[in-house]
Amino acid sequence: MPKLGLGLGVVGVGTVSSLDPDAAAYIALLEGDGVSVSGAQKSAIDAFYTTGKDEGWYSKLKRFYFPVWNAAAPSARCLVSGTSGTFSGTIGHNSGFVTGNGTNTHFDTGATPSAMGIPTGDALLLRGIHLDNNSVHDACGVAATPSTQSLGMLNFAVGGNFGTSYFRQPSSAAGAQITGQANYRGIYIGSCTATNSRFLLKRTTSGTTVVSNSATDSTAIYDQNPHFLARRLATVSNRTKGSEFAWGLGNGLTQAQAEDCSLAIKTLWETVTGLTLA
Amino acid sequence: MIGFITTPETAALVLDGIRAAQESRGHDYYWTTGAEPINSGANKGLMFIPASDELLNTPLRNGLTPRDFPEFDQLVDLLGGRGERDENEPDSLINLDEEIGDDN
Repeated sequence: MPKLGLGLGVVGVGTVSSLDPDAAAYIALLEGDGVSVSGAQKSAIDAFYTTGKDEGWYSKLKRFYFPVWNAAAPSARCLVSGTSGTFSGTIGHNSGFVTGNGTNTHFDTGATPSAMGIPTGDALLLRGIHLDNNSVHDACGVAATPSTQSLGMLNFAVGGNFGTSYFRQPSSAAGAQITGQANYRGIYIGSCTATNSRFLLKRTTSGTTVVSNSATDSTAIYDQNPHFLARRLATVSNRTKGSEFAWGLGNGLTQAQAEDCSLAIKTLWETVTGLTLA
Repeated sequence: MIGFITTPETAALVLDGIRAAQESRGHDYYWTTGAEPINSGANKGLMFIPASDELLNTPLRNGLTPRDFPEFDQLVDLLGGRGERDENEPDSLINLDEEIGDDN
């Protein structure tokens, strides 16, 4: 059953009639926003949906944003729920990614984890990083109003700790972290389930790195809207200057599903934008 | 940072107006200027609404920017007019009670 709930009737017959219905609905929304979606881009979007459904990770996603369309409305659209988040502040909208200004920018998903169906112990966070920035403003992840972390964090350390990425959900005691990175460019998926220990996966062109932590985190999720491009909204030093192209929230994946999902996102992004993952 | 310094009440009116301009056209609420509390200096207690040329030229949809909406001038007038845009030091937005030193 298509989650977007938008029928094929809004799409020109004969143009996309063979597409996955959710893919067709998303493409129709993009075109309504004025995006000219090429045939190759439509095929890539269709492949993302069909692959995700075949491999079992699509049903775990509650929100997936793909902010690559060089305009706010299409970039704010969720591919899964049919809702939109809200860009706030001076965000650079580019062909292939968005860029925070490190001071007053964030992206509000507009719903709480509980409203999305994400409980403690069964969650994922996803970020795609095109360009990073080793400044104090780059210590960002998923933020909440006003000051605490929300669903959890998928953060990138700066300064003396540069090279370390963290996934926590939400306790700091049971995080999974990747250390010693030369940069943060890549696709990250942090995932936790009750039976599957938390892990943080990073995908680059050369493959994946996975770090696990078997500790179970029973700390309740802060039930406030998750934000991207910022970690804590009340602290301006917790906004990113980095450039990002994918954000996701959902229920926990297996490691195999995270491998598949990150590869599908890589393929989608590279095909749609013509850019290459680091 | 260039923008308007205004009261919390006026800032709330402006943000509501930005949201209404989108939803009244049947669109999702997908863009806002945002407003940040000023936590130090002469304007402590007021709100800062960013309004740089870069922000006002944000591509929204179908080639439109915020300047293309009829509501734009009304909201700017509410803030005193375009000539009232101010330069605000980013440091004044830092809330020392909330600032957290770790970078994890």
